[in-house]
Amino acid sequence: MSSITDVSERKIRPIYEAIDSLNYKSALSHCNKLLKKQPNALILKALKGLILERTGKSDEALQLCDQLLLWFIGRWGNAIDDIVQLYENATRQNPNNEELGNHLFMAMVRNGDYKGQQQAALKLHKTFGVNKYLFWGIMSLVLQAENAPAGQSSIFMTLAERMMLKAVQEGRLKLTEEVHLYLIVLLTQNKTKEALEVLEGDLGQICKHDTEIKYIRNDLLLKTSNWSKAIEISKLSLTETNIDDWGAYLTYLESQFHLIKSSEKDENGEILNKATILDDARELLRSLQEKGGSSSDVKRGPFLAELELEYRVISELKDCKPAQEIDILAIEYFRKFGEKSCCFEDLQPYLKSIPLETSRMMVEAFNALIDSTCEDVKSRIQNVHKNINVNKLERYLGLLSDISESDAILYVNKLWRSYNDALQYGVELLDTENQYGDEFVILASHLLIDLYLKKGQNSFVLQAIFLLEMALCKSKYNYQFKLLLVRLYQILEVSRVVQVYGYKACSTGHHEVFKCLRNNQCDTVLLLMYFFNIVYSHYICARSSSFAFIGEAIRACHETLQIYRSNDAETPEMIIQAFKLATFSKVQEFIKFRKELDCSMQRVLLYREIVRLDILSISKDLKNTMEYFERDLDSIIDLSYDDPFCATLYDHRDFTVMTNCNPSGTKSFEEVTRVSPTLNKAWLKIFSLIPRILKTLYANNNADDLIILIEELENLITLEERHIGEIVSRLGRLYITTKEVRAGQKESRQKLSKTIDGIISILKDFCKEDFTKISLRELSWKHLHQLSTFLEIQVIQTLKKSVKENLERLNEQLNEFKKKLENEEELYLDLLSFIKSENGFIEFCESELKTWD
Amino acid sequence: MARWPDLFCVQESPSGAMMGYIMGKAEGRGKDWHGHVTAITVSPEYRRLGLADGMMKLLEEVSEKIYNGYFVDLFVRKSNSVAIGMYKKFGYCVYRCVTGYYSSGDNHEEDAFDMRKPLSRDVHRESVAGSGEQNIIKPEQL
Repeated sequence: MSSITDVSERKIRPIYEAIDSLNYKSALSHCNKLLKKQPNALILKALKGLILERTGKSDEALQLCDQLLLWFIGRWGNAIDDIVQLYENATRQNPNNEELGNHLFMAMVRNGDYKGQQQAALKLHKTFGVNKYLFWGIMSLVLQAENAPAGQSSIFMTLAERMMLKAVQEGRLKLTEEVHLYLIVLLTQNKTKEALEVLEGDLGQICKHDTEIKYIRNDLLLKTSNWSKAIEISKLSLTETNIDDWGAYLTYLESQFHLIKSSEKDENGEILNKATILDDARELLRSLQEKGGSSSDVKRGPFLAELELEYRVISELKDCKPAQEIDILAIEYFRKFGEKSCCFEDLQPYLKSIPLETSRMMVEAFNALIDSTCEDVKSRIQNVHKNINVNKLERYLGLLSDISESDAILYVNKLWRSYNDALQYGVELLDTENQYGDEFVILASHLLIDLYLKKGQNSFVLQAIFLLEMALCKSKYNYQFKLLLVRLYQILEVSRVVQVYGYKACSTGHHEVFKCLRNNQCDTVLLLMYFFNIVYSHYICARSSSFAFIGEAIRACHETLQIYRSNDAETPEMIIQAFKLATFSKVQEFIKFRKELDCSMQRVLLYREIVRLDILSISKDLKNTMEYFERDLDSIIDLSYDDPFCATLYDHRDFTVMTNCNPSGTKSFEEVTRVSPTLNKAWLKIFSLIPRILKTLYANNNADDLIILIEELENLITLEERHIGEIVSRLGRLYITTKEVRAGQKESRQKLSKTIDGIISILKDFCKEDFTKISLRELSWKHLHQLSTFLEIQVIQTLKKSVKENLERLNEQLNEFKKKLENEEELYLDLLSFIKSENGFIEFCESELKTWD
Repeated sequence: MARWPDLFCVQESPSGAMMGYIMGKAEGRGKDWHGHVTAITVSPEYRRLGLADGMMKLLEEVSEKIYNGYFVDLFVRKSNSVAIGMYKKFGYCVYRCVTGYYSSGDNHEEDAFDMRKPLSRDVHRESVAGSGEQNIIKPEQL
């Protein structure tokens, strides 16, 4: 970045002199000459701006000033208030300068000052009479209403609606986005009927081609119980526009079922016959099926809608019979779409409560639909997909729930064979594609993990890892493999491997998607969150401190925080763009996006984890620790944990990304592979309180503050953090008691020894195991969590200048352990022989490895 | 997204999972005024369902009815034969070849095909007239 002083004074002097002698032409040419050599020099830009302004070219001058301002904003991000002030002064002095007025408004937007925005916009509108400024003002009123304390928002909304009505009467609404703003004004007040009237009237004509408006309209019809109209419109949309529009099917069925259930007459007074309505619906779907079936690729919409219809008949209408039983429909659906990957997902909701016997029959029927004699490659690839779907359904329908260990192993072997068999069809696939049979491997590992959960032997986890790693060689970008591997390695606490696979996956795979989205395309809220922040960070960073590799854990946390920093800098600019371009439908979305990332629970969890890791890493010696507490005193005291604060946080972590075929009503695969409960608000509170307590101990603050913190901590202690929580709270109490003793309170002496006994007994409870004696094959997250917690406790103890030897012993153990883990080759061979020795499973390991490499 | 919200679309499955998305823009002057496909993606599980077809149609319709453009264009890697075949099926043809359009940090460059499909406003199909793949230009000529 350039700075003010990067051009020598000697070079600039001629420009000063030319300006002073009013010779602007020569000043400008000199300035331009220097700018060619140093195009980023701020001093030159500033001088050029001055010259341009003096020569009447104020527009160009302002542009330059903008650039300079941006630099200042970047440099002194906290000085935004000053910038607003700056523009306020400037507009006051130049009330007729439209551009300055615009800048003032945008500065307010950047600041999130909705009231200021409104005033600036209305002033602009009053002075220049441009419609856009009026709409800025109305939008700002809506934003004010949204953020007003309860009960006070109606004033803003009434005003906004009144202004809008006036604008409509004056014919100011000409664009879709302006009509959208009108809808926002009405819908913020829940005026659905009025909003629908707007869309049905002249204004609706302006935006009749807009897809989003169409959806809003359908939604409004449902909300206002306009069943007949909703039926008519959704029917039209299905027959004329998009036969595969699931939203339209839902609108249609929803409305029909309302009519059936509500009364004998529809809202227009026409007499209804339930059977006829159902027949009509079935007839519509049948005609759509015929129409959709005639094109080259059959559309699944009308067939899935048939399932939806009959499922609703069964579950919602007591006195009507389905035209066809669900299992028969499901088999028909499989016949048509069994080779589509989404077939399983499509059928899932309708197969929730199928009896086991019917399920068996269904799976048999599915299998019968797979013609294994076919010769051509295309049909064989389709068979791969069909087989995957059947296997998924088998698991989902609960047919594998009581499988014996030996049968399960046979099943795993069968899946692995199917996977290997499918590889031949994918030889030509691009690097970025997944192999056709990848999901066989996912299913095999699910079965192995079932066994692990039942029997508790690590060997099953290792076997699953082995299969997944092999398959990952062939499908380098399969994120399901990677997610699963991260989890499995976490169970075994092989932290280095988690770093390699999990972390690299995160930084090279989806991180790219994230980057390219951010650069110039868009930050579709869903996409961005979906891909990066949500998917990976909580899979990898959760409980990273137990990794024992503190440096890497801290780095991972910081990397993950990147997205929040981008949000701070970039999202305000998006909001400004939306205002500039009058894209009112997106203003609220961007603001919501900014707020939700700003108040992300994951973000706070990461900050707490960093503080925790920082303390762990520096406090190996007392001097560092003291310095740390001295330096970061204020930030630790600021760690919030109170309920109002927690209530403002948004938890966006999406745990449904992982493939799950577990039967409905049972825990998902993601849930059963958690090494510990998900980090939550209780965890957040504990790890905000602990540093604060340590801090208070260090600062020698008064005991009353301390006791409040301790009591809060004692009320929170969760199972996983039991030891650390207990130790910290007892240390706190010890401190208080010591103070009391010093102050001469005799009865506290007894308490003192009791407290010390308590601490010692916890430590004893903890030291039962010698960690170096755990063999690698028995190692799991539990052990390492215990180990790292123990380490943490020891570290905290050093604050009280005690138990030094203990710490040293543990450090030795830990180092030995690290060495063991870091020696990958040894680990690898050990694991390999172990996999082979257990259960007589996968004898092909060695030979497979040879052929693959 | 702030400028062309109607050229952005996400498709969700009945269960609410994201199946695919398209992002576009409107650009150009005079007879070059057109819709552009910035990105289109369909998740592997939802391929071969005609999703891309539907989203392309939506973008074409918006480019025609709302932006009144002459054509829709897109860039595709020369090596991506699957995608090129798909776009041809949708009615796009190669208008020209841009050398070294795709470049990555490690000096790997790849040519791009500029593929176009005329809309009804372009009555004489002027936007796709020319020598197609033989019409080679450099990225800076774009």
